[in-house]
Amino acid sequence: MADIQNRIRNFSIIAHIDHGKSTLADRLIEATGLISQRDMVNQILDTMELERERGITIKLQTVRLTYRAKDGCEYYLNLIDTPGHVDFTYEVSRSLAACEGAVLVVDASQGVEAQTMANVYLALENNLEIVPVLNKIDLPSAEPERVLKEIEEVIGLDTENTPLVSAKEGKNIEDVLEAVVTRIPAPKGDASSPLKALIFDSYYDSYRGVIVSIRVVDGQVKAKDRIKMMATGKCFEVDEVGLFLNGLHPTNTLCAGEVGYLTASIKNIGDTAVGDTVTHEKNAAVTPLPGYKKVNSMVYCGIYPIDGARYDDLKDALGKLNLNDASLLYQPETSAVLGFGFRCGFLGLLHMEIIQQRLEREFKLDIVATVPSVVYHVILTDGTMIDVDNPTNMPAAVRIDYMEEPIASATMMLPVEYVGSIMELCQSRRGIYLGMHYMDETRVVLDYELPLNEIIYDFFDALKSRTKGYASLDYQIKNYRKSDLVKLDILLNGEIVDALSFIVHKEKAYERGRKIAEKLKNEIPRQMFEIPIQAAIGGKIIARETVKAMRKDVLSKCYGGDISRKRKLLEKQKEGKKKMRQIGKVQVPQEAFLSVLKLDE
Amino acid sequence: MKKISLYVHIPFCKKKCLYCDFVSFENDHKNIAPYFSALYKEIKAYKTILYEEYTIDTVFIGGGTPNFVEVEYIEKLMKVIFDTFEVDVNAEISMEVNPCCRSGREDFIRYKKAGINRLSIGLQSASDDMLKQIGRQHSLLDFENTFQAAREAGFANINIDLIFGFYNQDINEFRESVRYVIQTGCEHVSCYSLKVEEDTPLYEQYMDEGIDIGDADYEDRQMYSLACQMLEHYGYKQYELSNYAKEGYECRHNLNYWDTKEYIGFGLAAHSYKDNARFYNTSDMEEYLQEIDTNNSAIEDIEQLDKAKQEEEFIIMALRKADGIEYGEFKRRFGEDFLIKYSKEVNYLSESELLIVDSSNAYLSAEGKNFANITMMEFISK
Repeated sequence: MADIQNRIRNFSIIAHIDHGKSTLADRLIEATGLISQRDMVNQILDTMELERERGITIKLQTVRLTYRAKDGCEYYLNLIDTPGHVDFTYEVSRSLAACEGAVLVVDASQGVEAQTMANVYLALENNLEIVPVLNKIDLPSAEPERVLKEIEEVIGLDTENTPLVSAKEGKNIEDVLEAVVTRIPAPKGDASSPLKALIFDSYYDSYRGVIVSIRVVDGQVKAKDRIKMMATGKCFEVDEVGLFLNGLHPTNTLCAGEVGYLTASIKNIGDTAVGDTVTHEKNAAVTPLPGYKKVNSMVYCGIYPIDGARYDDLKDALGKLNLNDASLLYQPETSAVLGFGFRCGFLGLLHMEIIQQRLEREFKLDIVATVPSVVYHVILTDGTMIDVDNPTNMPAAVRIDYMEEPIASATMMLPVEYVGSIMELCQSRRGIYLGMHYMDETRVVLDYELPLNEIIYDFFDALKSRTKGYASLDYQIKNYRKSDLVKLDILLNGEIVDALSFIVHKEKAYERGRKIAEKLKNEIPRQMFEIPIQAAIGGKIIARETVKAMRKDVLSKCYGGDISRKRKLLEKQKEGKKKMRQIGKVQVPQEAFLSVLKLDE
Repeated sequence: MKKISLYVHIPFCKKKCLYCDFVSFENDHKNIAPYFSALYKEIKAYKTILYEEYTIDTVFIGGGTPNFVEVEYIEKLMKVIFDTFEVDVNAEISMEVNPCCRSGREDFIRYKKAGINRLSIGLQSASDDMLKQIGRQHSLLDFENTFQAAREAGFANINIDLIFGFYNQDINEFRESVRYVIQTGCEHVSCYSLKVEEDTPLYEQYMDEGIDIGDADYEDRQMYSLACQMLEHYGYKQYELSNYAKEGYECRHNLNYWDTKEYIGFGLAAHSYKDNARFYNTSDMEEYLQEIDTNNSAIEDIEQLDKAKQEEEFIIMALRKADGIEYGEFKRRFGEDFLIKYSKEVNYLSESELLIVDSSNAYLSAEGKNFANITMMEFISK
């Protein structure tokens, strides 16, 4: 047994977004002959259209490669892909916990970025051996020596024998495989101990139920075993275990040190929580593997079909997405203006955006999303505390003793010339300066405490636009803090639009109310009557704009040459109307809801 | 024999007006002769298509400015039409003219002799200041002489075009223009609310000055309602959104469009409707000349209308007319009861006071005329 473990290497590839993680993974797969170049759609690990488009990994993929090293031995390399965004930090940490080492990909011209650092810290927390690799050395702007120096100084890694590769051109890929074999330690599990296997991913298959990705740490597991999930307490009988080759490949047993999958006719993906430990029902392990935690939603918003008749379609779509994404929460809610929809909880803003886009693209649904909200703690005068993730549910002011909001610690990495501008941005977002240090002569790391509700209002876009796209951001929720918060309402034609209400710091309320009213004025087309737009706190109006009445909508001249054009214009107008949401008498385009989030600072 | 209308496009003028987005070329003398040769050829090639099946009910020579070119071209055009097709003895044959060009008594006598029996004169405004502002190439006096000459030549059916709704246009100035037109005693008035089209100098000008034309709509509607009242008072009945006529002088050619009947367009960018297909010629002069030379035809695209689209077009065009949709005609054409088929739309629109429904017709209310697009849109299925 020990012999087999010696020939296993479990590793992940970690990188900042765009540094070429997926391309390198593709090359490793190709180089080991698992999939021929011809059969390979670019970046097979990123299977969703959206992932490919955005160049990020949302859903994990794992693959086992067989590699004959220069020492003449054959090694089994389990490459565990990690999701590529800050919203999925917990999933990343569990993937890393399934490994002994990580290949750190750094762009040879961009150098070390905020996410590189965040990933390195995660890898170090999991005691991984880190193997740095410089990618994109084919680019004219590549400065391998500078970047290697940076890795040594900033991260403190030894960069001797660092592979210099171009994943795009397939250059020096072999060096990476050799480094994985020689530098990453083999797993050291005990196959005779009780079973302990870490769940690091799972997805739903309509024929076999949930397919659970596991790393066997100790013991072994095979078909017909009765197993137990230690955190959820659920028990199942294993149908099949296997390896991730080009697809699922059944085997007899998965032993200590191995990475693979199991199926057990599991219907609910919530029963296989990432980070949970699988053991046997009898002869169970005494303690689970460390590090399990229940993931909480950080950001909430309401999602409604534009066409109310498609409520059931939306429900089905969310159900299907949820089969593969236990972190997506949804429950029915009703809005006075939007009708029936769902309150949805997400890990973060990106997660929210991805779900919204998948609903629109994969399920062809036109949706309206309400202003996102974080989860506030509301402490009532009777001393009880409630969580509020929907402004509509905020209790009346007289019942509230005080409120608390989530605070994030944010790390931003940016070129030194933008420091002033970004400090100003953070200050304007109620940030508390924690510190700053130089990475090198040109770049600095800024540490701030920022209220999460400031981050979700367009902070990332503002950061990018102020630094011409050069800044990177990483954040983690730190704690809850008492704060002076109010509910801001928007009224259209005198009616409160519940979908546009949000909770905001009292000092920011006036400015934000004014900006939103202004924005809405530009987004709402003229209609047959004048439309007042008001922002209000409690009953007090703090800002007002007016959409002037449209006085005419008529084509004055229509002769022989104008008829088909006329019909097409009316068709277009009708299409446009269908995409609008009726609020009282007012037609509101979808963009109006989005515009409230984009304040163009 | 079936009836059909002909439209002939003359894409030449002295100078393009600031608001104009029609296909027309300024002072393009070198292309006039080749264009008319091509035009005659295109018309003649249609002989076999219409022959023995159709009589020509109306002809409309539009532009551009048809009286910008030598009178001979128009004379020859009419001869080609009469030689090629069977033109009804009572056919309405209209031509557009502008007071800036050939508009003497002798010219009009020749047009009349060539067969033209109705004129449409572009005045647009009776204020010289306004005419200058919008880039017209004539004064009020020029118009007066033109109108006089046309009458002397024996034209007894004359339309005058007016336009309103310019930003900062004074309603008193417009009232004077309407009054002026009425006192000429013309038989027909077309009175258009300005539409600022993209790709026109006026659009550029408004953009540069930061003018939101929507802000002029209140005055625009005041002028619209003023025009209706004054013209109706003096015996010009509004029979379409922008058209008014003394009894018996409604433009048959244009009614043909609004009744979604058949017509053939000749010349650059001209549109046709026949056998439930809409098709149109290229807007590119070089291409037109070449295509006609080699193929006798310069059709750029054809759209075959299915039953649903025919019905939509029938409704939206009919709603332009004061009489609106006549249920009997709808049933004859589409075999269904309008009020039953569109009960939902009709109820909604009459509740919104945009549509008036009586025992035989459904037509736009005064408010419906201001929001005709919104009303028509309800009948679009897509």
